Amino acid sequence: MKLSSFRYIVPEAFRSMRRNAFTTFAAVATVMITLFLCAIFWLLGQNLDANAAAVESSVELAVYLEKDVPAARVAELREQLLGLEGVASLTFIGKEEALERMNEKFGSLYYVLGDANPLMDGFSLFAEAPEHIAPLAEQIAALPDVQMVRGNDGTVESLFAFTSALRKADFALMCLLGLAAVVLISMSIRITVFTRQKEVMVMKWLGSSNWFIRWPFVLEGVFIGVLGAVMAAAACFYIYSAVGKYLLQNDLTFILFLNVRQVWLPVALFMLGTGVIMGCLGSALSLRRFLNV
Amino acid sequence: MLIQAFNLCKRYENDITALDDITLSINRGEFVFLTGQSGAGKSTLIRLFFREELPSSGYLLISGRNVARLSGRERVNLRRNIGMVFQDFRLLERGTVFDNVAFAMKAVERPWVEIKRKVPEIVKRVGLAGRERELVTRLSGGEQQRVAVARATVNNPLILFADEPTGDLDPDTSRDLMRLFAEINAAGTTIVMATHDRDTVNEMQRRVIALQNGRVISDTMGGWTL
Ligand SMILES: Nc1ncnc2c1ncn2[C@@H]1O[C@H](COP(=O)(O)OP(=O)(O)OP(=O)(O)O)[C@@H](O)[C@H]1O
Ligand SMILES: [Mg+2]
Repeated sequence: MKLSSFRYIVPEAFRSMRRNAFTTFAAVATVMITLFLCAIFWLLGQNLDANAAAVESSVELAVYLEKDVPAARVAELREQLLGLEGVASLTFIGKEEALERMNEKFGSLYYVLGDANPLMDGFSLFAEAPEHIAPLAEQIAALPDVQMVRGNDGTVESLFAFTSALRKADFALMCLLGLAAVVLISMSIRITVFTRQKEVMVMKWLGSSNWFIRWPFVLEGVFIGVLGAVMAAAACFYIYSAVGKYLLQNDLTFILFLNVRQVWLPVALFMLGTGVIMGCLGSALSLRRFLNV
Repeated sequence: MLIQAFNLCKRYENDITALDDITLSINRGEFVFLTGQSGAGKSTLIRLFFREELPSSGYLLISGRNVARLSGRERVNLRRNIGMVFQDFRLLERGTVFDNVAFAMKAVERPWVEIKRKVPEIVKRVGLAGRERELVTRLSGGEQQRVAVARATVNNPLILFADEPTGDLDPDTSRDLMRLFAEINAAGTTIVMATHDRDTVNEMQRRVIALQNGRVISDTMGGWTL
C-alpha cells in the first residue's frame, strides 16, 4: 500500500460516516459519555487528593480545653505546650473569637446557632514540621484539662481511602462503558461493511491490497473515537471551569480547587488516546473475520 | 505458456462434476473461445482461471505459478494482471461511467492525475466518448457492457477473461464489442472468452475450445465445432 493512497482512503471513511449517520452518531455519543464520566471522576479524585494532601501537610493543631478552665491554669498549660518538642508557635483563642472565625469561614451557616456558643477555649498550635504533628497530638491529648486535639487526624486517611475507591469505581465504569462504546463502534462499522460489500468484492477482483480495503473502515472507527473524545473534552473542561468560577465567586476558597490549566493536559491526552484505542478496537472487532482476498 | 491446466477437476458438494480432467495450455497473445452448451462448465473454468475458486484436483499454472499456492501478495498481483468482464457486469450502480472506470484504477492505487488522463481515453476507446458523467444505471445493456470492458482493460491487463459478454447484445452491438476485443488482443492482451454465441465464433475464426459435461471435446482453430 502506498502512502499517497490515503487520498482515496480518507474521503471514503467520511462518506461511510455520512451514509449511516445515525449509527455513527450513536457510537460518537457513547464514546463521549464514557470519556466524559471518566474524566469528571478523575478530576474529582485529583481535587480530593489535593485537598487531603493540603491537610496532611498542614502543621496546625487545634487544642480544645475543657469548659471553664481558670486563667491561671491556661497560662500554665501554655508554658507546658511551649516546652514540648517541635512546637513553633502557640496562640490562645477564646471561645468568642473561635465563633467569629467560624462565621467568617462558613458565612450564614452558623447564624442558626444564635447567641448560644457551643465552642470552647483553646490554642492554635503550629508545629515546626508535619511529622511533629502526630506525636504532639498524642502527648497533648493526654494532658489534664485538654478535652481534645484536632488536626491531622484520621480524616485524611479516610479521604485518601475514598479517593482510591473513587479511582477503582472510575476504572470499573470505564471498562463497562468502554465496552459498550467499542461494541457500538464495531456495529457502526459492520453496517458500513455490509453496505459496501459489493464494492469491496469488486475491489478484490480488481486487485486491491487488503490494507487498502481495510483502512477506510479503520479510519472510520478512529474518527468516531476522536470525535467522541473531543466533544467529551470540550464538555468536561467547560463544566470544570464553570465549577471553579462558581467556587471563587461564592468565596468557597477554603476548598482547594485545581486550576484547569494545571490538570487539563494529562486528562485530555488520556481522552484522546482512549478514544483512538476504542475506535481501533471497534474496527478490529468487525474486520477480524472479514476482508481476506 | 501463460496458462497451463493439468487434469483440472471441479466437483461441488452436491456431487456435480462441473469440470472433469481438463488439460490445456494457452499462449501469450492468443484469443480463445470457450464454447459449450449451458452447464458444460465454461463459467466454472473461468472462475478457476480467475482464482475465484480452487480446483478439487489437478493444477493450474498462470505465468508458471501454481495459483493454489500463491501468498496474499501474489494473489493481489495476479488479480492486477487479469481483467474480468462478468456476465452480469457488476458495476457500481450509484456511480457514473467515469466513477466505474476510475474505480478500477483507484483500487490498484494509481495516482489521481493518471486517472483523470486515462479514463476519458479508455471510455472513448469503448465508444462512449463524452458520456463520462452519465449514471451507469441510465445506460442500455450494451453500453453497460462497454463500461465493464473499459473497467477490465483500463489497467492494461496481461489476460482478459470474459464470461458471455455478448449474451444480451443484438448482433450489431456484439459485432462492435468483438471488434474492440480484437483491438485489445492485437495490443497484446491474451483473451479468453466463454460464449455460446455461434455466429460470433464463426465470424472471428479464432481458437475454439469446446466443452461438454466438463470435458474438452475439441480444440481447433476456426469456427464453431459442436
Ligand atoms: N456453486 C456451484 N455449486 C454447485 N454446482 C455448481 C456451482 N456452479 C456451477 N455448478 C454446476 O456446474 C455445472 C457447470 O456450470 P457452469 O456455470 O460452469 O456452466 P456454463 O457452461 O457456464 O453454463 P452457461 O452457459 O449456462 O453459463 C452445472 O451443472 C452447474 O449446475
Ligand atoms: Mg456460464
